This record gives sequence, C-alpha cells and structure tokens, in this order.
Amino acid sequence: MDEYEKLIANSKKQQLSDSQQQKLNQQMKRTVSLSKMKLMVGTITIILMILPVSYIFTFLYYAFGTKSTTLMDVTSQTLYVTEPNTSLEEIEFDMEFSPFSMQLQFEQYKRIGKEDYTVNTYDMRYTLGNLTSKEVNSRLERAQRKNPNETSPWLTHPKNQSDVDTWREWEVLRGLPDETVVEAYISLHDLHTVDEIRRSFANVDVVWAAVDTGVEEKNLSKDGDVVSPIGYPVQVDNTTWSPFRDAYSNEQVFIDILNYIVQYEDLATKVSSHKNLKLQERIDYINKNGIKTYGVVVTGPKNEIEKLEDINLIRKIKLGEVKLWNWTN
Amino acid sequence: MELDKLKKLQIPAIAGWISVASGLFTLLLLNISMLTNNSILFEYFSLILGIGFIFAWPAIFSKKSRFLGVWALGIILFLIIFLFNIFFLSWIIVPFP
Repeated sequence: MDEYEKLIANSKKQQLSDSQQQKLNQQMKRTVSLSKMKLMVGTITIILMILPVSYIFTFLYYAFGTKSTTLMDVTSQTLYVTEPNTSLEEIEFDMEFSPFSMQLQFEQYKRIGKEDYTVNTYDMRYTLGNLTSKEVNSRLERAQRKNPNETSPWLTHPKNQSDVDTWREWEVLRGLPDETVVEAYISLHDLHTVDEIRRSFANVDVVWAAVDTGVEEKNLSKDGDVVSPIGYPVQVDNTTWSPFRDAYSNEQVFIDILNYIVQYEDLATKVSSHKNLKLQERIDYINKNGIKTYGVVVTGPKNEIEKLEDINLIRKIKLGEVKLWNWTN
Repeated sequence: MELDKLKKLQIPAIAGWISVASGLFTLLLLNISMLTNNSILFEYFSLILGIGFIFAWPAIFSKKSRFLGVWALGIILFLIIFLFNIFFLSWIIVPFP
C-alpha cells in the first residue's frame, strides 16, 4: 500500500457516522439561529433605548445646560419691555419637552380700561438653547406693523418723524361711543419723567412708558440698524411671578431686566417683534442719562382720553384697542 | 431521564427569554408613552418589570442562559435609572407647582 492509499484509509476512519453528522448539523443550525435571534433582540433593544436616552439628554441639558427657566425668563422679560402695555401670567405657561427641544405656550394680556384682555397666544419651540419656531396668534384689532421701520412705531421720539396721522386719530376717538374704554399711544413733545406724566394724565391710567435710550431720535442704532421702542409697565403689577411684582421701583426692575437679557440678546431679539434690540448700547445710554420717557401708553374712558387733547404735552396720538365700558373700581 | 435533563436545561433559558421579552415590552410601552404623551401606560410598568425581574434570576443561575438574565436585568436597571432621572430632573426643569 502506498502512502496515498494509507492517507485515504485514515481519513475514512476519522469520518463521522451519518447520525453524528446529522446531530452536528442540527447543533450548528440551532447555534446560528440563536445568534441571529440574539442579534435581532439586541438591535431592538438599542432602537427602543434611543428615545429614552434622548429624553435623558434633553432633560439634563435643560437642567444643567441652558436652563428651561432661563429660556422662560428671557422670553417673558423680553416681551414685558418690548411689547407696549402687555403682561403675562407666567404661572400659566404651558411647558412641554420632546427630544432635544422644549415648547412654551402662553397667552399675553393687555390692560384696556380696568380689565386685562387676552391679545396674543404664543407658541415657541426651542431646539436646545435656540428659538427655532415662533407662532403668534393675535386677536388685536389694531396691530403694529410686523416689519417696523424708522418712522412706523406708534410711540416716537420728539425729534423723530412719525407715520401716525394724529388728526385722523382724534377724529376716530371723537366718533367712538361714550360707553367705551380706549387704549392710546401718546408721543410727547419733550422728554419727561414718568411721574410727571402720571401727574399730568390724572384721570386716565398710564400703563406703559417708552424709555429714551439714545437711539430713538432716528430709531437707528450706531451701526445703522432699525430699532424699536423699549420701555416698562408703569403700574403696580401683582401678577404671580411677574418681575414687577412687589417691586420697589419699576424703573429699577426695567434696568435689571435689560442687564439680564443682554446676556441672551440673540434669543431676546428672536423672541421680540423688533428687528434689533442693541441692548448694550442702550444700557450704556440709560446708565449715563437716567430714565426719561418720550411716549406712554394710557388707557381710560373715551371721554377722559379725549380731554387729553387740551394738554399741550401731546405731540402724537394713536388709538389702540377699544372695549366696552369697564371703568369701575 | 433524558427528557428531564432537557427540561432542566431549557427552563432557565425560557425564563431568560421571558424576562428579556418583559424588559423589551416595557421599553416599547415607554416609547409609546413618550410619543403619544400618554402617561396611563406607566401604570403597567411596575407589573411587567416585576415579571421580568423575577424571571431573570433562574436564567442568571444557569451558565448557558446567564447572558439572557444579565441582559434582562440590564434593561430593567436602565428603565429604573431612566425613571429616577426623569422624575428628579423634572423637579429642576419644570418650575410650575
């Protein structure tokens, strides 16, 4: 027997029997199917964990990164100082979270006469720290321009031009029924302190004052960007969580708000309806020159607002919202 | 005798797969709850998690099916950490009473 035949004979001896081969095949099949099953279940586990992990990441971000409360405060405080005669009920804000984003829904109110009316409903969506979607459903009958220019604001500086047709506005006011209460935007001939204006407008409520911040003469910043009026609520505000609640001085709260939101100016600009805020420039001016107003928002009975025509402080007037009589204490 | 031996071998594996399935089902419920904003499903969490937890132990003590038990306990641990984190972090990020 040569070497080759020996090798063949040995290998035939080592060959498994048919039953053993079958068993081995079955075992291999079972192992392969088990491995496939493990792989499949492992993949399912990982897929099902994606959403919970992204929620944990989102919650951690809003707890320790850009805080959800910071976003809420910047949003509400920006609206207080950029939207004339408006207030918010922060405790009634609706806050919801989804992976990597936060949604904030709330209503904005206006004081017309002695009552607060819902005028806007906001729906803000923040992706991490950025405002990525802003929807405002307005119920205002007389709304300001969406894209303000240098002369379009209803409150204008004494040295600035204004698009407001005062003669027409007085005519409209005279045509209103006596049983109505009116919101009016009054631009003044000169700069005054808010107390002076409150004393002069004794029979109506002065609710919001626009503050001279050095850019209102042309409504242009040093860089040539269009800016709009900013100011603060004048009256006592007892709304829960309002920054002006129990304030010793609303002027001081206004300055504190500016110093706070300047740290988040990009966000504040997106939140507001203004094109630009240019806060640092305006804060510097206020710190140097103090707080003087060039225009106020007042509300009161139609007859009392009409009587303001005799006061020679007023340069321009623009009527805002009108409601049925509610001027009771 | 052989059948008994086979049963002894398979019981921990079956228990392991039951516990993994319970864990995955709880994860699925959690995903549905988060996608639909429906917290009612949270009521079933403890029951299904409990089943998974109980069935994981026979699997752990058998060498061949240990990975199934560890896998199931891993999912259960993840879910507990998740719920604890969400509960704790919610106190921080939601300022409303």
